[in-house]
Amino acid sequence: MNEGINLYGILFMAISWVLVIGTSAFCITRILKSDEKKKE
Amino acid sequence: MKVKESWSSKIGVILAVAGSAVGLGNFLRFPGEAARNGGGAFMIPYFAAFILLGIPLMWVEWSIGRFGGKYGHSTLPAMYQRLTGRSWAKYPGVFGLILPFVVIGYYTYIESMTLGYSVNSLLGKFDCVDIENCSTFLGEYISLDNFSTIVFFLLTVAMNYYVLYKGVSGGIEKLCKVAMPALFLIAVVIMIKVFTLDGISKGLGFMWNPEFSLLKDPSIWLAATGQIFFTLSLGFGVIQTYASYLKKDEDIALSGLSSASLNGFAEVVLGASISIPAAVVFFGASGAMDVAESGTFNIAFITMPVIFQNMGSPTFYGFLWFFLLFIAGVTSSISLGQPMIAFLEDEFGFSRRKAVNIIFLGIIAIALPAMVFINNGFLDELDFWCANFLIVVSATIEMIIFAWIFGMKKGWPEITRGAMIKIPVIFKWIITYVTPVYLILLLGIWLFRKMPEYITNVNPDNLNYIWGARGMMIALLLILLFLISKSCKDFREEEL
Repeated sequence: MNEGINLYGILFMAISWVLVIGTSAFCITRILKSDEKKKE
Repeated sequence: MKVKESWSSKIGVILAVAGSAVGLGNFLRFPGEAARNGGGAFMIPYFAAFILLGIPLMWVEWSIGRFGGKYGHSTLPAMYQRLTGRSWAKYPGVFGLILPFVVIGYYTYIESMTLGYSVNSLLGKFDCVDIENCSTFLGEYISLDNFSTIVFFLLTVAMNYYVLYKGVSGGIEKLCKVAMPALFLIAVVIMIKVFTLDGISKGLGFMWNPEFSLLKDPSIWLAATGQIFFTLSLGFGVIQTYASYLKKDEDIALSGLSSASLNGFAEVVLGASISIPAAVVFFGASGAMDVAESGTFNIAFITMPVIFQNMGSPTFYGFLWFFLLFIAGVTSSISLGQPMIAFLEDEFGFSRRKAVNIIFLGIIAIALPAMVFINNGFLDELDFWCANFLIVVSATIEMIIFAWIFGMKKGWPEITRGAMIKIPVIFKWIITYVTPVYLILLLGIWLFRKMPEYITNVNPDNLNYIWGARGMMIALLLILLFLISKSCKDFREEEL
């Protein structure tokens, strides 16, 4: 158990990060655009 | 009818809901759960529960809130009555009042501890070099002989009071627009520091290397379901209150997904990269497992300060860590205060000032015994019932009312109205069948496994205090049921 991160570990970490960061970025960008439109 | 408050921007409401969800659990509970339950493999049941339970329930709560707001209601009793058209339905809505009200009572105390610790760290008064030393410091801090404990508590109560008194857009939204970006920034700074530690590969390996064989164990799937449920602030009635301040055609689909994904970011990216990986670096894998099992309170106030001491620049990172927890706490506690205030304003016509004054007297009345009897199980008892068991009960009732009594024929258009994203139709079926089954399963596990385990492990020396806590909750429940019976009885007359 006390070993460095392996290929599967990197894969799971990368996929999880991409999923949450990607979704958050997509949502926030659309929300900010909608707020900007409203202001205009 | 008086003019209802509203959010001034979409990003404001999303940050407020995300702020409500992002709490100590993201940084302390999640990494421990993941490390104990298969590392990277835990993410498979975690994302499955996110899609089948978290997101659907999030949309249902936003939807119920916006629906209630249309009629000028911001709390569950009246919302349930409107959804079902039946008078009895207002009573199960009591959970949307009592749960946040009890939790904010003791939560502000824990929040005040994070503030006290961050100030002590900054002033260099937090001399904590090993576990024993930190435990002594904690013991001294929570003893009420310590004058500064009371000062930090009153300061925290005053901050919460001010934000809630200023209202939805003037207080809550303004705070969250500043606090949430600050929270993410601070967490990223600490994460970068942890990632530069020698031996961090072992820490990340402990956290992420998957053990696929564990996926056959149903308890891993239940742990992931529980984590998703507790992390998103579901079942408290808080999201419905926030969503009630939306306009009737405003999007909730993208908003619900946004707040859930921001919470996921705080948990999966930031939370998973700080406490447990750092604990592996300094205490080894078995030490980190002990840390994960020692509970969130110990990780926050005992283990992490020792880690910062060993990491270098303990003053700076200790301050950042506790301030991060303070921000996570304050954005959650204000959300817990809003439902009761809204109940008094909407259903009894109280002014904001009067409602806030009454609610804060109540908060102090709950916090005082929680502080005085913290070593006698009083706070743990409130936490077990209100922040664990009853929120599952509340969410199950809510799901049944929305999906089966209100019905998805009306419920689906309610969710998709004004949507800024297209929700796949499969979610209609998930909400109707899968999510309620998931919740009933979770409730069954709590009833038949967790509750007997909890009740049999009660320390007999604490029985009087535990019954004191139960008595307080029952008294509060009766008072709220009485108020509900007086508040929502005139809908039909009003409609006529």
